[in-house]
Formats: sequence, C-alpha cells, structure tokens
Amino acid sequence: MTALLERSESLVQTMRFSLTMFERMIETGILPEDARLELLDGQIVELPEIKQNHANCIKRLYDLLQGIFSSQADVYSQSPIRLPQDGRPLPDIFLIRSNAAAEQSPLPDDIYLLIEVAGSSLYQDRHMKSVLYARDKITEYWILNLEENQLEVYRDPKNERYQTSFTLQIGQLATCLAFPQDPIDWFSSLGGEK
Amino acid sequence: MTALLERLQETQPVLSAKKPDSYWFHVSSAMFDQMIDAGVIDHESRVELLDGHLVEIEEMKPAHIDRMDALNERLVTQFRARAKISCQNSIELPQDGRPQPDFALVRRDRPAGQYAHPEDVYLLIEVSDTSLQKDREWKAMIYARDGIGEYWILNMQANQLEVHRDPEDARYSTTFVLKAGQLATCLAFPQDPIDWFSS
Repeated sequence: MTALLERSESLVQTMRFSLTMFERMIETGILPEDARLELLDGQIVELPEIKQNHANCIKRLYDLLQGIFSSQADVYSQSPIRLPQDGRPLPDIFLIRSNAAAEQSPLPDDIYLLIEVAGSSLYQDRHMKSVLYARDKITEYWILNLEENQLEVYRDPKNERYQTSFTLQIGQLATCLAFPQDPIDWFSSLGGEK
Repeated sequence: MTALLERLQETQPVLSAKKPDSYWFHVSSAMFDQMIDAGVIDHESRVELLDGHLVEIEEMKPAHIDRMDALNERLVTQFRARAKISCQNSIELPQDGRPQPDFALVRRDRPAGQYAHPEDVYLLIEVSDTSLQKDREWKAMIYARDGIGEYWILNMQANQLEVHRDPEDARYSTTFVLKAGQLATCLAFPQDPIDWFSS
C-alpha cells in the first residue's frame, strides 16, 4: 500500500493552511491539544514522540543556555514560533529578545538563535527546516547532531539557504552572532548519551 | 506539493496516514466537518478529504467540462428512474474520506439528510484529464478499501473507459478497459449499456 502511495504522492496537491487558520484551529480546539503539531510551509505535520535521551539533551542544553543568557535573553524550549510564510514550528530551543514572547509567539526578528537537537530528525533538520528557517530569515540556526556528536552552525540566510555553515566538534566552544563574548560549551549537554 | 515539502518526501513516506510514525497529520471526518463549520475550509475552496488528507481538486478545463456535461445528460436520461445521479457531491467513506467523485449513481431509497455511504452507491465515475494517475492508483485503492463496489475512470487522454470491480482488501480484483465504440454496463444495471464515448 505504501509503495503505491509514494508513487502517487507528487500528483497530489494538498491544501495549504495559513498561519491564521492554523492558530484558529488550535484556539477553537479543532486540532487536538495534546498532539505536537507543526505548520510547515502551509502543511500540518505531527512530530513523533520524543525519545528520553533526546529530551534529556534538550533539557541540559536549555539549562546551560539559561545559565549563560538569563540576564540578556529569554530561552524557550519546544514552544511555537511564527514564520511569515505559513509556518509555526516548535523548535527544540530558541533564544529571543527579553519579553518578546510576552503576548504572542515570537517572529524571526525577535530570535537571536534557534537550535534543533537532531536524532532521527537529522535529515529534515538539515534539508527541510534549514530552508524554512533561512527563507524566513532566522539569523542563526544550529543543529546539535546527536548521531555524530557535533554542532552544525548555519548563518547568513539569503535566498532560502544559509550562506555560511561550519561544524564544531566536542571540545570546540561555540558563540552565537548576537553574543560573541559568551562562549557556549554545547558538548556538555550531550551528557555521554547518544 | 510545494518544492520544500518534496524534499521532505525523499525520506518520509507521505500520504500513508495509517503508518503510526507518519509525519503528516491525519485529519478525521469529524475534524473536517469542524473545519467547514468554522470556515477554515470555505465554500470556495475545492478540497476533498482522502484517507485523512486534505487534497485540492483540480480546476476543470473546457474539454473536461464538455465531457462532464455530456456524460451527465446521458446518465440522467438513462437512469433517472432508478438512481440519483449525484455530480461532484461529497460521499462519506468509513476511513476518513469525503471525496467528491465526478459522478455517483446512488440508491433512490437511501436515507435523506446524510451523505451517501458506500452501500448506497451503485457506481462511481471519475472523468480524468490531468488527474489520471491519482485516480488510478490512489483513489482506486481508497475506493476499493472502503467498499465502493464499482468504479470507472473515463480516461480522456486515451479516450477509454477503465472499469474496476470486485473490491478486495485495498484493490479491485477485476479491471478491464473499453475503447471508444464499446458500450459499458455496470453490475447494478446489466440490461442498460451506456454509450460513454460519444459526446
């Protein structure tokens, strides 16, 4: 059955949801509250259940960033952000201007840094989300790659892609563009787990 | 699909909503109704629910409209006493489906005030111009799985009629093709051959 569907998938034009529609469906309870749903480029996707080691890593990274940046920025984990081109993803971590999310989910302009912690989602985070984030001008995007224990840094969004990218290995501190004076020992959040 | 999502499809089995780890959100019939009531899907949007996916219906070109009209007249003339000819109206499928087939021949004594269900349907017909592969592969599978007894595709490109019968699991075990000049009969009305080709 799956093979048949895969072959026909490119022939199917699925309906596009706007950000407004999507938010309205959440507010009115049409979409189930307990599901982890993202709007990506007008399409609704359901995130798989998060594995414990993955959740632990997000927690450690969140605590780490909170410790370093709490006086300069707000740190969020798995909360929605709004993208102008019909997007409402739930990034694993993001750093925003203090109080930027006081009333509504933040927009790209409010975001200093966005991080996805990638286990099985590595392909999507690299090839799909990076396009989405670059297109809507998220200034800086990191992937904490749990499969290879490395940090992938993406900067300078232009024409749907990040023009600068490089990889850091365990032991190499990272700094983000917004706070160049604050090195981050991101690898401590790996915690010896894969 | 957008170019962006096509990249995702390289690794994600798409439109296989029954897979527990499917990436795409599965929309139920109940949710679909709520979306219509809330105005998220308005009357202008040509959208059908297929196996939990909201799929846009292609705009018809003039040749397609001509073909639809001709077939409509023929079916109405021939079967109006025995069946309702429902044209591009929603039917209700048990597994989160609310398609709008081009034609449905439905029982005249079916319960009023609700969508036609598979057991009310004698025959479904899709008049297929640009949507041929979708109609052949995806819709045939859904219709067979959800118990539509007979399904025809009027293939405009090849000017042929593709007959699908005997649904079994998620496929039709009998299929054959009629060429222009060959009359078709449906299982429900074997005494009434249909001239599907002249229009």
